[in-house]
Amino acid sequence: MGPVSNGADVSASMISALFRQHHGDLVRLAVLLVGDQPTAEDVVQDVYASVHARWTKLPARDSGLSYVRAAVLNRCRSVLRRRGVASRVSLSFRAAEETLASAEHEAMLCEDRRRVLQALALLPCRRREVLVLRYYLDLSEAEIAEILGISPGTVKSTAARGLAALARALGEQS
Amino acid sequence: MTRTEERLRDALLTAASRVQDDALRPLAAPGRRIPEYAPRAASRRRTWLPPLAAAASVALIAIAVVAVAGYLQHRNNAPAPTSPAAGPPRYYATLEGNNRTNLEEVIVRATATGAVVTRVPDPVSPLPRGTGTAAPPSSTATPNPNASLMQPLDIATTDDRTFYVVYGIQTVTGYGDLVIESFRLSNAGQPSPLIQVNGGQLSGQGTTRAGGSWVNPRIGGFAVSPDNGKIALALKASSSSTTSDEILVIDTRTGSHAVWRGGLDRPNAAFAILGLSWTSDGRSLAFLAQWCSPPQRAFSNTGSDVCGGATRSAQVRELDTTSAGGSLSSARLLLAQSARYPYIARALISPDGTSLTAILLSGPVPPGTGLGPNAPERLSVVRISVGTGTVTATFFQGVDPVSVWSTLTADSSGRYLMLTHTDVSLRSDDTRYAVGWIDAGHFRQLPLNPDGQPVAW
Repeated sequence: MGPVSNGADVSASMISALFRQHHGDLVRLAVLLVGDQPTAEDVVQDVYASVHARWTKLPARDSGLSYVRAAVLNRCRSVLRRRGVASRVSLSFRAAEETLASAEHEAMLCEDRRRVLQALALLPCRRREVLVLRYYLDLSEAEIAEILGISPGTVKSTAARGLAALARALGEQS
Repeated sequence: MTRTEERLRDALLTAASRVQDDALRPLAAPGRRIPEYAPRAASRRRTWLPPLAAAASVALIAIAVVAVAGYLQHRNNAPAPTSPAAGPPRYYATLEGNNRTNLEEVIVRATATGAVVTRVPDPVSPLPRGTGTAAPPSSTATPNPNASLMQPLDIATTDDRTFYVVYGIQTVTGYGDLVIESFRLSNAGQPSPLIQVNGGQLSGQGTTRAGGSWVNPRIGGFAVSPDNGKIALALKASSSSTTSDEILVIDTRTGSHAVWRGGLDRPNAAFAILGLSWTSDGRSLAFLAQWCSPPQRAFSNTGSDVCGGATRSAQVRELDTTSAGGSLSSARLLLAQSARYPYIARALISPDGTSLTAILLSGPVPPGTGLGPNAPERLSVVRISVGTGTVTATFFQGVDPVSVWSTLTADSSGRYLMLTHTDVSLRSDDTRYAVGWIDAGHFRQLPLNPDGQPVAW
């Protein structure tokens, strides 16, 4: 997925439209990686501005969403590193639950889900990303490979290892 | 689908469902031009100027080592440096994210090759430890709410041997005190044990998680005087501050603190201090003052200090640190943003105090380059005479489209500079950096860890 040579293929308005259409989805994706909504919104805002600034070098329009998703993933990774620890995510999930504690919230995010999210957050970054893309976005191995810039085989093995680690953490037999 | 897969999918969908589209903060439309940024000719061009903070948040950091020895004198007839330097520092230290643990760590690298010389273990948190850990990197243990760890936040050095690191004590509830530690490298590059600096425990800089998000303490600058006798930090003046708006100077011999705050505030503008540098006598401290108007929130969760789509102005000032503290307005004005210098991104004072080495940005990008108009076309590293305000040497010039987030550090001689600026990667859009020499305008890159952070040089 390289940049197109002719910037006329993609217009700034199309970029805006792409983000308007997928704003919520991108924030949700970021939330699952960074653990809290304010940071997730900032991540998407950052990506939006940066993509907007370079719209004529973006990939062809049919892969624009993949490009943006990849940018969101990379930005999430950078944010976690820059702010210190990705493992904070594990705490962030807990913090988010504390901050947003409400009957409705507690009902929605029951103990079992919380355990799963905490176990997910403790996985290495790449495994977490693969699992989120696979089981939240329902992307194929090929699509995940394109976004992460790795081979489909690596996606498969990474997902398998990630699931195995999750199963162990959750006390299941994988 | 296995039971694990079912549980994972259910948990992800449920967590994601908490994000409601109608409750999202609207995306900020990149449309406001920054007056100081765009010369008059730019008004005929695109007027949608994406916010500066956005460019900063793209920040893909590249670190360059600017070698000016010899070149300066030959090309620019520059005065000799205050102290002769046989060459650039042999080592430099960075804060880098560890891909395995996802923790920040202090890493010492060799200037010549960029290779890792040593990794410096984090100090033990002074807080009581419970069982378990606050942030198990890649284990499946449950985080212990009573535990804490030390996170490196900034780093500085006076040479390539003695390094100072600001650590934040991180707990489940947020950051507590800051602690300054130092270590020294042996000739073989091995670090001594960390030692806490006298007077190096700083309270009142803690942050509390907001909405589950960790917020790093604001450190706008960190510099050690050449004799290691004083350490200066740009910090928050109060818990309500959102930027680094005061200067704290620690006397490492006595442990005493002197504080300068207030006096430079402007109505409807956010004031911040970005970057500190000492003269060789350890008396004067230069800082870059920045005002963002209106005081717009600028992606604080991503660690950006850059004005978010706002009007920006800046000054370079010199503080006499021999007093016991006072107002920032007592600092002498050395250089102000102007039509001549439309964007002073960073500035360092020379060891003798007679000149500044600054990162200047100018723009805009010409049409047809494929780069957005928020990106300044030119980045220059120049020396400016304090006496005349004129450029007396140009060390580096280049096209650097999103370099609004930049840092500049100098070695103890002032001859060798390290430039931190953005590096666009259209494919990965990720933080990258590289070390290289800039010699006569030519950048020679060295291999380096791809995820850069502050650098001590």
